[in-house]
Amino acid sequence: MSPVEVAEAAVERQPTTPRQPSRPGRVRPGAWVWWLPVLTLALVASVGWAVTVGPADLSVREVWQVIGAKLGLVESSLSPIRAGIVWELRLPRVLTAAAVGAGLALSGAVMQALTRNPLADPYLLGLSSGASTGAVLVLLVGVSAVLPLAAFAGALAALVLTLLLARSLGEITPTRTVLAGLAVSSFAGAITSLLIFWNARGDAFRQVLNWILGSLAGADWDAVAITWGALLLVGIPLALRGRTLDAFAFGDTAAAALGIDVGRTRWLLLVGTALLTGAMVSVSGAIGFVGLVLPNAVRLVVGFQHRRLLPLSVLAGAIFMVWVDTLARTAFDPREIPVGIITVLVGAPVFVLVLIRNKERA
Amino acid sequence: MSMLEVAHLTRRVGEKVLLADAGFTAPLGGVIALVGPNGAGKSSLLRLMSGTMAGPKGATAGRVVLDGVDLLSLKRRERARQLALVEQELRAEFSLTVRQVVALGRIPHESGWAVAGADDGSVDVAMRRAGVLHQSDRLLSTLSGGEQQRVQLARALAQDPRLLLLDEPTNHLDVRAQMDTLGLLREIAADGVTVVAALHDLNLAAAYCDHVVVLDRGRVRSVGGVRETLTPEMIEETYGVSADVLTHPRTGRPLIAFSPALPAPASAATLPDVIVSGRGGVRG
Repeated sequence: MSPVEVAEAAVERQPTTPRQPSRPGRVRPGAWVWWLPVLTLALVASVGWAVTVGPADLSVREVWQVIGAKLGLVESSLSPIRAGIVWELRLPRVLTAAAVGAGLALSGAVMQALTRNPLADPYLLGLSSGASTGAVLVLLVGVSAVLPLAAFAGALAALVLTLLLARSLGEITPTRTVLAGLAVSSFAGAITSLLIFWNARGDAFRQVLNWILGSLAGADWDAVAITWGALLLVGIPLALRGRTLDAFAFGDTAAAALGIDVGRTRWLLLVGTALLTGAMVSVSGAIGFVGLVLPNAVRLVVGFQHRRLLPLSVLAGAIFMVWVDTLARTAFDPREIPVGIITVLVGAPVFVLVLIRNKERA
Repeated sequence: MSMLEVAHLTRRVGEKVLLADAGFTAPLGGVIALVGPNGAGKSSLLRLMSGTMAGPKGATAGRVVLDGVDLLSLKRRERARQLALVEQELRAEFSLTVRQVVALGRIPHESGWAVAGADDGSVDVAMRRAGVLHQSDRLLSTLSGGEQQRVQLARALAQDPRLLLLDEPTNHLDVRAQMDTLGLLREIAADGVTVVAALHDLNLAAAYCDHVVVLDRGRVRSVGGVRETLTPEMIEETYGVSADVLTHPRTGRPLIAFSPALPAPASAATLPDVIVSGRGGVRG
């Protein structure tokens, strides 16, 4: 027998396993297309519902009357104070929550793909804390006009530091990266607290809580402009690079062999996530685990492909944030808690689950 | 006859030269084995040939010429449509189905911004050629090592390459999976793709390959057919092992029998000592 015949004989014994549809390890393709319209509707419904919830006694009809009047659609008979509660407090807050959730989830999904690390998250890798430090620094100096830029610089510095630190530990593994991120974020968090207390004016404790834990209590129309602006200008281009992110599935060399300019792509996309995280943190402080929880949950449902994962993470992140922020501002009425407490309550157990799923490569 | 011409590939790490101006010429459309001991520069040569690793600064990039076209001078995406690389021990950190893995090979043929990939059937064709179509919805991690290797080959085939580079494709596979993989490489070559594979097992190279490139300490030592290159002298000088080259009773191909340089048959109890002194004797 010639070697070719030997080879053919070897090839012919192929279909040893017959089709077994119920076998674990098979996933059903195609179902994901429904998620896009379903989640979009769910987001619109969540926003519409969340603005009607709050301590002030306003009916659903009154709330929508105010919004309709502001948009010039209907006449409003409500007092300016009641109208202001809706237009100046609730609506900007809900809209900001949606953008922050979307931005953090998208940043997490992109970072996970680029670092091949399911534990990557703007909070765990120190970007959020770095952004908080940058933001607090310029607030103390008094140049709040550059707040988002300072937060971006802080996020980028923290990211670079985390990745350098992880690399200096040897082969970059998910847990080493998270440990490096822990060092960076703890340090940045301490600096932030120190800066606030050093320059204490008014309620320093509350400020520290809001920056370290993350809160949307201060969200106004400026916050809406910053977060939605970042989401549209940076988030959309990032979300459209899904196919490029797929190429990183088997590492940098494999991506390069698929025609990707690995160095340039990684740099551009990581700067993009730092910009996005910086913009979100500059209005909300360091809200934790959103970038970890949502992309991992969405990936469980629709699988690996980033053309699906990125847009669905954006929608899921927005919905999640609208709900948890509504909970944060109403559950302990009349007091309000920083929303970051709830996201960490949800996120830390998910973090442990992801850790267990990836334990062989810890 | 059209040829693959590889020339002037150099890799240095610090002062150490891992690959010194390596090059070879071989006919297209066959399976070319890259052999040599660990550290001889096989992986470096493949990485440099694939264009995924830059050569030393200031040195010329070298050439990988296929039918008169230097693949290293092409743009990345264009090169990825002509050349595919399958590295050693590939693993993903996320769960991918077989179809998703194979579809990665279409990336150089798609627009990076595409919202929905237009699958023109190439993925199915690649899966059928590699014999993994029946597993297309399975998760990669649930397959055996040999099956995973086939999936990686299908991914490379989906790139529709003219040159396929593989680094130790039979590593960690059992005998059957090794023969399976090399058999598939022969089929791919029969379809006109030139295959270059780094191989540890000289007998696999002898049984399945048309051409052999022998690397030794960063230099190309010899290039040619299996009979010309896989000689007792080459094995003695590059691997430091004495061997006889026989003829396979069924295929007529070279069959290499390694001799553990022992003075006489040894009992099991004394074996470790004998091996140590035996190795020393060969090296000296």
